[in-house]
Amino acid sequence: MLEKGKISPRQAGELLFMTIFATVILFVPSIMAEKAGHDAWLAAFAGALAGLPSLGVVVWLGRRYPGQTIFQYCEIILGRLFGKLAGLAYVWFFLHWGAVVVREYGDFLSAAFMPATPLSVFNFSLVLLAAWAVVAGLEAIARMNEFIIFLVVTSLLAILALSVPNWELSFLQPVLAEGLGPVLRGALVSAGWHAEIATMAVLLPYLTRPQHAFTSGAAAVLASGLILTLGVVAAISVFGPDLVAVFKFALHYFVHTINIADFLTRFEAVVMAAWVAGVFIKTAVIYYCAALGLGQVLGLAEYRPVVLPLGVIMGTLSVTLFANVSELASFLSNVWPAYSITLFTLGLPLLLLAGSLLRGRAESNGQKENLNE
Amino acid sequence: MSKYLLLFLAAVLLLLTGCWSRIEVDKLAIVRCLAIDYLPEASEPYLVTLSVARPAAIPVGDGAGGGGSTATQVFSGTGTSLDLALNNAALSMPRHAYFTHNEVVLIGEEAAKRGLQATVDLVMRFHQLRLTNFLLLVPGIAHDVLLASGRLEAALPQEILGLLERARLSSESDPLEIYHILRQAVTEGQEAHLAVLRLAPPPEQALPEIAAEKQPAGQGAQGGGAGQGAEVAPPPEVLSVNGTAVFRDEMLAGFLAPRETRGYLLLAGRIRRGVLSVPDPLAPGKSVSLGILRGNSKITPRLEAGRLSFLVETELEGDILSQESLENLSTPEMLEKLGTAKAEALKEEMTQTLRRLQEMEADIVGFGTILRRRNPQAFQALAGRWPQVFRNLEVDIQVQAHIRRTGLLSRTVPLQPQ
Repeated sequence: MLEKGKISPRQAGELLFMTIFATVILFVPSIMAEKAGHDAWLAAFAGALAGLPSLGVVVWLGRRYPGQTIFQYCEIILGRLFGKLAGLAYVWFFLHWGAVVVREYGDFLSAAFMPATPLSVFNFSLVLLAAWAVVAGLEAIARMNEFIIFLVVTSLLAILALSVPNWELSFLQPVLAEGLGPVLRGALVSAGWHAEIATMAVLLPYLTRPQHAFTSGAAAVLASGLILTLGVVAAISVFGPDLVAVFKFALHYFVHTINIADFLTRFEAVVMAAWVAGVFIKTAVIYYCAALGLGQVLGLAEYRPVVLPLGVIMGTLSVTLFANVSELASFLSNVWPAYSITLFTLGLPLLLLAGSLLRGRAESNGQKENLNE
Repeated sequence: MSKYLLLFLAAVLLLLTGCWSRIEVDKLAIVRCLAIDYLPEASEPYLVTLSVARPAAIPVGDGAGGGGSTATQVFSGTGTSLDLALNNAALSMPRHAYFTHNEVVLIGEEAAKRGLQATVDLVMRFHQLRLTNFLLLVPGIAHDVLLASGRLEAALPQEILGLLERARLSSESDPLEIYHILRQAVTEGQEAHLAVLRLAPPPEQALPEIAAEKQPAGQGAQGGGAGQGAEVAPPPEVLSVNGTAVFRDEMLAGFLAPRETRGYLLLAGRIRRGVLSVPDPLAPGKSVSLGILRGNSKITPRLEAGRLSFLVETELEGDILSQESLENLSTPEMLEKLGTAKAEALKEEMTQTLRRLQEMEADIVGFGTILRRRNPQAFQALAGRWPQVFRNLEVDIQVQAHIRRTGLLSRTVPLQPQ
């Protein structure tokens, strides 16, 4: 067993919440406003619900193979060769995903706050910090997150509450004027992010009470969906859907508009601090999954030796994957949801589920035959 | 041992770090106001003028301005594009231009005629400019406004902000933050409008009484107001915020006078305080001053047999401010009558504004948006030619005005006993 620590279901839920939420709130409102217009808030919530099937599949698998992560039971289901390949594919997924998240972080800081600083400074410093957290283990990340989640959620809710005087709710009308098409296109984006709950497939064996995995995961998805919906409603009622769609970071501009009596104003630094903390947790969780996964697939005694090499790859990828911010934006809105859902967060788990059911039937048939003999 | 030494040296390195590309406060030029002009004849047509807080003047308490015009300094630059002009203006300063405390963006008339697009793009893209900046239009050259010497505050941007704050309480103009203007401009079925900041000639330069009362104390607190209240001693010209610049398709289409602006605010349901005078119902030739305290409007689209029309229902509250005659106006019947007169007068203002907007084909009230929200299909059918539809739009205006109070008098003081 590569990880000896245990986390409570609540801690797991909080970790997964942050894993979804940290980037969702910064990038997704704009993307959804572009796809679904004034109905983006409906899309936000509908998409979040789409995270539940993913969660259901991985939790079912996790309960069927207790004590094992997805890297381990896919070898049982698919056989040694294909299992290892699928495991490696998952390691790649986490690595790629981590690189994309790190890139989002660097691009935001460089565009909104420090345009003269090279991207790699942001990216590598984040990866280094996350590497430290990963070496410290899952328990350390979960405990750190208990503090950070409080910071992120309260600052965000406070910001939303302070913006209420600027709201113009009529921007949300007319509801569903263009039919369901745009809403579904927008929901796919939200679903792409919320299906990331499939990360539960790695954390589940380390829960103190694995039977609560679904409850805590569902709570994470729903909480993220609700806050995202609230954020989208707020952004659209302050700016109108057409303006939100052209923003790169709607939340950042949103914070600009808060001004209570010339006194409660300029909260950008607060939001940035909370957000950086959130992305750190997200990166650490993904990075941890990649490292643990590689360790398990290769059958190492320790996952710690692979942490730094993976970090170097992740940091380098984060700088080189996209030539410019438009490539990143187009990847996030057009490629990422389809790529992550069909392959990793729902597609492959479903395949494993089917494989496991077939194998189960074959085995029980085999047992019956044995009995008959 | 050498391992620990190495570790120690590495740790010491951390003490040598600093902030990346930091600029200390004493190297910053804090820009407070930004003016954009377009000079069609010039080879570098864009002119950007920055009003910068003078560092030496910052610690001095505000309002104390002894010598007057020294709290800010103006820098300008020209260029073939807006950004180049801004860069040149910034380069002409001995310090690093810093924009996050900029609060007002002025756009000159000529630049506005060429459209808001370039200005908006600059403001939104540039990470230092905030969306809560006020965007105002200046008739003529915006640059000149930043040189105005007649003012109450030591710093010109402060003067403008004070005027804006007061203008937001009255109904002569409608100053809005940039994000507010933008959300209006990008919404289908609605056009943008800006408040107008202008240099107003002093009311009566020759009044010796004013010149005699040169002591600065005693008068100050009221500010410039709507263009007449300028008491500061020898100003050539003072600033005033009144009236509205109307845009159509992001291009300047025309102006609304202060009174027409009130009509717009009434139509849009955003009326603030105001004063109007109506004829005295009992004494012909005399008038009564009525105040507008608050009000609201509801706009409903009506589609009957394919004919589109709108119903504007406005409800107002206010009081009697003064009367010229000796008649007793404080009876329920008279207040009712005055209310009707007030409603009539304000309905006329609204109708007049609507007519002017229809001539400009600029739907700044957002009738189109309201239709789109209530009846998306009907709006889709008209969206392509909404300005023309708006031009001939039938709008039924119904105003209800209530006179609630009569001040501290129940009747006027009869100075000549009858």
